[in-house]
Amino acid sequence: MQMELEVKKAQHGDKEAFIRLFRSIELELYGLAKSILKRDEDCADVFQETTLKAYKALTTLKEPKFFKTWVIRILINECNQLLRKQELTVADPQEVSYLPPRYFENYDKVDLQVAVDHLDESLRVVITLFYYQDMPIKQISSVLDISEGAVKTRLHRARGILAAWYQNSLERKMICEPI
Amino acid sequence: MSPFNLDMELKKGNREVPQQLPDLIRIRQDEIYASLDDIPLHNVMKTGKQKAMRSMLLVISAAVIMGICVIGSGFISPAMADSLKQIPLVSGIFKLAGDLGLKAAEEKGLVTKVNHSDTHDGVTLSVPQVMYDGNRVSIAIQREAQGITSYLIGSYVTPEDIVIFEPEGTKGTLKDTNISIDGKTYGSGFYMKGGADHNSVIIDFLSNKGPDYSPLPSEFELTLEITLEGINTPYIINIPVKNTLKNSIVLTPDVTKSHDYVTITLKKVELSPVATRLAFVLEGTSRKIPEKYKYVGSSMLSLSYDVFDDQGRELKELSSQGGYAYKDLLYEPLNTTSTFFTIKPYTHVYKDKKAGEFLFDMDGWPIKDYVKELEMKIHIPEDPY
Repeated sequence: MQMELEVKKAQHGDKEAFIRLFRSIELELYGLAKSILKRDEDCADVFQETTLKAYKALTTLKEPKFFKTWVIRILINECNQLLRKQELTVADPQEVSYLPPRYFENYDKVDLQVAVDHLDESLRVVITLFYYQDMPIKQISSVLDISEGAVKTRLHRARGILAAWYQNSLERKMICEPI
Repeated sequence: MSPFNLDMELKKGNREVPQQLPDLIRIRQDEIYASLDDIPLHNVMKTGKQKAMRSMLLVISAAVIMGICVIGSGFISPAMADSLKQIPLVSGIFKLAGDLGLKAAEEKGLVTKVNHSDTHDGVTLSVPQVMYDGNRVSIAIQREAQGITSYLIGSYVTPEDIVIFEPEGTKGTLKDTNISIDGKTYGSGFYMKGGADHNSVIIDFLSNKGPDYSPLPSEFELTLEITLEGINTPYIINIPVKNTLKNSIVLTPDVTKSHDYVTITLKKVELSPVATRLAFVLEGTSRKIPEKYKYVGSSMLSLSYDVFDDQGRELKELSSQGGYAYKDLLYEPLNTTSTFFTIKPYTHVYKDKKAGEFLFDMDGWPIKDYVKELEMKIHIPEDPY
């Protein structure tokens, strides 16, 4: 209820209320942006656009309880937009395969993380929202504007790809490991 | 690895929630917060700019599709509410506070008078009127309570055109509303607006939520579950709903117009005394499409549609939903004597497109850039009703 009250205040021009609201979800937004974009520089760009858009369109949000979902949706659109722009420019291959050092602390995790990173964008977002953001299928469906069935299908496909990938990497490991 | 294990691995895979933002983002974010002072926040909640509100809403079309509730034009001033309190409610809520479609529905006897109610702590909520024409479901809700003067919807407009929200937790205001159709939850895609006085509200939703949903049957049971502030027990009201319209006319014009790599096809028109419904199929994914047709930061088409009758009267848009490939629009009803109507697609002119800020004219309306090449004129067969 506190959040809804803050949204109403912000909608009536209380900038501090907006800042408090946005600050309260910054880390979650960062985790999400990071899982889609990887580079902090990109996350910063997307953060800027998302903040400004949410602020300017705030009065159009009529159900204050949807504030977070609404912002996440703007954020995902921004991430997708940026990814599309990057597809159009010639990417530095080293940058594309860039992974922050923390991922290398645990090799198993690297494996799975790499596999997730290599998923098609539409599958990756669903995996990210479902597993990393703990978002229920219904909410993912509304954030991505696809049916619940489509969310389930994508999850199923992504799981299939990841399972196959893991199986392959397991076999690779066994071949490489000395007997 | 079994799927179960894969799930576990994925779930623990990225659990390290960062404790703080990296400096790079923290610094920029603080700069953005500081810069908000320079950015005007459109008070689109003012009634004079409701058109602007609708358009701003479309900028975040995502939110529209998500089904956020939209407070429509049903606000009335406290003064008017007071005067209404003095006279008994002769007409129904729809006639007093509805749009042209609901007024017409009431006049033409398409409104079902029901009287289902639930009472808790001396406060009664009842549903005196329901309207369903196959496309649109409207429900009037009435509150009866001694000594409660708060606005049921939780807000009102002053004569100075300012929206006042009731303080959080004001007794008797709507706290939560859920709708189920034949026992299945409808979700949040409904509109809500103030009714004839502080004690009433109109809920509106479309029978068809989109291509992924099946439309509502011609008869169903609607369950309202409403929680009011200050009253712990939720109100549960079951209402049988029936399509009362037998004579709507369906046209399938299949008219296609293309311009600037944008193609729109009007697949279906449904005319009734209650509303005019237009269903478009859109093709707007080409990268060659000029930016002005797109929402800021999205590849989704940002086309709006004005509809005029053969006398040049503009039909008010009642609701809209859409996605990348379709647009479903509901407007006020056409006059029965109309022989044709014109659809004029337009884009908005931005003061600052990146920031999503419209350019407004002297009267505070967003400036429209009509796309003449996409315009459609649709003829209506004689005596359609």
